[in-house]
Amino acid sequence: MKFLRHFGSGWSGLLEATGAFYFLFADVIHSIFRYRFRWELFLEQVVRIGMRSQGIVLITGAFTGAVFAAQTQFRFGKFGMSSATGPVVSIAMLRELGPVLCALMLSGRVGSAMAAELSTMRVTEQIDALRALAVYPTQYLIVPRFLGMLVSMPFLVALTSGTGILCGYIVSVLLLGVDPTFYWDNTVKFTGAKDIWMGEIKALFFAVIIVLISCQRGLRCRLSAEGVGIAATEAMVFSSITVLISNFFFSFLMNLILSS
Amino acid sequence: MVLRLVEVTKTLGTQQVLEGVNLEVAPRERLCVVGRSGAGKSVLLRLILGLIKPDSGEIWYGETNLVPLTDRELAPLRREMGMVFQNGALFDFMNVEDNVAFVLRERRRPESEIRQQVLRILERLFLKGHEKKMPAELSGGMRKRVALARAIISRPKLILYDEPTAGLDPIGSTEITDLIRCLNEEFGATTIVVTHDMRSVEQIAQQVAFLHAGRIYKVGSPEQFLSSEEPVVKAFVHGLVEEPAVGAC
Repeated sequence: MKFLRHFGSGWSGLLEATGAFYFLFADVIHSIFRYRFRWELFLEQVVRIGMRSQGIVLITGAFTGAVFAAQTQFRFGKFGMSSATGPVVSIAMLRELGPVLCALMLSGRVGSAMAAELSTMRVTEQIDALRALAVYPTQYLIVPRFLGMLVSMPFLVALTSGTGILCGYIVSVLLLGVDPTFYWDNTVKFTGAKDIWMGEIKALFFAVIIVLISCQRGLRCRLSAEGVGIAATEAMVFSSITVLISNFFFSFLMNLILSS
Repeated sequence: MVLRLVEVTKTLGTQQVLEGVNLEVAPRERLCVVGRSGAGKSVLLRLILGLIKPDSGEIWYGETNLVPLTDRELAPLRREMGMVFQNGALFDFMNVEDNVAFVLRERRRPESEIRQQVLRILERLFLKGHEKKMPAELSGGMRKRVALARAIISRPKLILYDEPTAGLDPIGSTEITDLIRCLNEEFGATTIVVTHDMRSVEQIAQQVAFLHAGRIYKVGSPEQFLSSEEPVVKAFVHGLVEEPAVGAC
């Protein structure tokens, strides 16, 4: 009986969270067209999300590309397939590793910060104060974050993937002695525009997931200091898990569409 | 009447906080709503402002029933109201000047006019020289005064105060109550103050409404209220307890 209750509450919680996610999404889209655009707040978010996240995504991309290239080369080298390392690294970085790892880093860095910020505002009645001053909180707080993330994420994913490919090249060519001409020639030959687009579309998709889950956790937190901590943790955990799960289905679907 | 509450009920969680509140507030009146902690005084203010919805009943602001209105529909009416939250609820990412100017900027007033008005009101509330400070750098009393400045800068017709003297020393408390009275006389705004501080009631109120057991138990002048012989009112005014608390000496 206890198990059933626990199981049931888990599912109802998931359904409730999914419903809240879609309602917030609809509210954000509606607010974008209904209210005036706040350039200042939007640009502030672009700086906070896009500019200030460059460091961590550079490091993430660089070392992922480097280790992926090294591992691939160690295996491929044994079979004389060194020149295939380049395309493998570039396709993996552009299609999967770049978008997913960048999204995971941003859900930790930006998502949890958004949730903590919004939940603190909720606990200290600042969101009520906004409403009392006739300002719609979704328009003032969520829309700039949503658009800021949507604009920043494709650039950050491009940066992650690009750095990964570059560092993969450096490790393969300079450290492991792969022929640079073959490496680069094959990379260019087997990497298509659709690989880049797939990564960029994923970037937009993950941006929506991270910002909505994080803001929703922040806006619905319990009214206590503990609630703020829980909201920040949940924002990161839930958005990371959703990114990982949705990535599989998204990749699957995109491959079916693009290959047909 | 500026404001009229008709049989308003509200349940929070499993607790019924308000069980049929009826209240009328006249234009330019200073009404103090008093009652024990947890009686539902702050809930009443949130209902008036439309921050939460009642389970049943009507809340009339002028000729408009606020209950069925959405946030967007409430916005023009909220522009006629101001609220001073218990802890100030200042925007912690803005300095004092920006907090106070927020409403005017939202209404797209010219920057020169905003600056002039902000400086005038900060001077009026003894906050001159603190314009660039962040809320975290302010004392409790200063924070309340900034919240007050933010609430009144747009000259609202109805101002709601949630425990304006809570947590202040006696001098800070007197400063705030004096300001509330003066601003009411100066701007002519209808004022509703929620408090359980009887000194504030004496200094501010023209009318007192006593909230007890989820209803408005008594409404009257401060004199009638303070000299009431009704046991419940008398117990509240004089801090009398029916039974000693468990563990009391």
